[in-house]
Amino acid sequence: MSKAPARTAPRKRAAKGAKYELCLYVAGNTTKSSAALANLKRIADEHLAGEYSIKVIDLLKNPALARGDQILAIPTLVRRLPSPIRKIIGDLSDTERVLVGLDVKPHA
Amino acid sequence: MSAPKPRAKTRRSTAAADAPQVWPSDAEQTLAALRAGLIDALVISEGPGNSVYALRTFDELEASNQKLLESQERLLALVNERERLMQDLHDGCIQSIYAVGLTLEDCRRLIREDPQQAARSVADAEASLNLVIQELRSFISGMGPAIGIDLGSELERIGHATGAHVPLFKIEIDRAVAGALAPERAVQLLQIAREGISNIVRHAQARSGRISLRRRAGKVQLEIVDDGVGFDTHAAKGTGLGLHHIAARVQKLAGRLRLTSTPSKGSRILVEIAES
Repeated sequence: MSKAPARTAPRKRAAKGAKYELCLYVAGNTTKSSAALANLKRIADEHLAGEYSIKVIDLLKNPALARGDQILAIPTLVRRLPSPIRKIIGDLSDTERVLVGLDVKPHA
Repeated sequence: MSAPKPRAKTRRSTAAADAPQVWPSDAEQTLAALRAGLIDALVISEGPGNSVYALRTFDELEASNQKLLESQERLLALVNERERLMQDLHDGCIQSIYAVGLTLEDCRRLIREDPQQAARSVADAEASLNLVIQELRSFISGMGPAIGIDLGSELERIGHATGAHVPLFKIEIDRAVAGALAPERAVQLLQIAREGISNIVRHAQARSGRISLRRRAGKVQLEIVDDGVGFDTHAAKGTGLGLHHIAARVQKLAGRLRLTSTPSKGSRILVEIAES
């Protein structure tokens, strides 16, 4: 009698219409925070085909929110979905690195 | 039956295939981003338990540092300005008023012995007081001592001041040297001369002296000599404001000060500065 194949935990997917659930932690309008937001919007528009949601959390207004995602530095992009959670720290100026971090195939 | 065709190799170019096996930890990323200048704030936890995450942005720190530096510079400028005013008041107005006092003191004798000379001395004193008033007005308006002085004439005037304790000074002024000095340097030398002569009048009990302004070996030299009681130069250092002010003015002129004296053998002040 053959064993049943081991079952792996199903990969959690985003809700329909938002394949990528992204959360960007910023500190007001500082130089790098502003740059990170601009870069994220550009990358998302170019490579995520509208299948994303972006939430911006300003830790200057509510520093306690950093605890949830254990944020160490600003700016930090957190990919909540698809899992696993992954963080990309910095101003997101390196597009290729951001795409690698998000597990996104770059559009030609 | 033919052998199956080998499958064509295709290049997988998904990002997942190129992704690093292990994504760098937060600490590794933070350190790398900090070194590369890609972050502008660190999250700091304060206290145990329900910690409050406080943020400090590097822009804030830099702005604070910059404000601190600017405050320090303003404070230093204020301190220097106060020092300058103290020096100028002490060496300028106070010395001038003291000289007027000596002149008037001498007038008490002259009124009996030589009324005409007394009248001339009183007129000189009046002129000196007017100059002092002008200087004080300049201070009040923030302009400092009057510039554009005739150094040669001023040195002669203070050297020829009369009074009971005023020694007879020989005046040797090279007018060309005096006229070639920049106004602010001329003022500094005049203040040095005033302080030096005042010290002689007050302390030296000298009968004669010499004030000279000349050029030697490419340098401008101001020399004040007296034949008074002299003093111990080592003991005099750090006492009284006069010598301190002279030294401070010479330093401001980037010059050299030589002060020589021996008890009962008079004293010599030599100031050497570049011509410009």
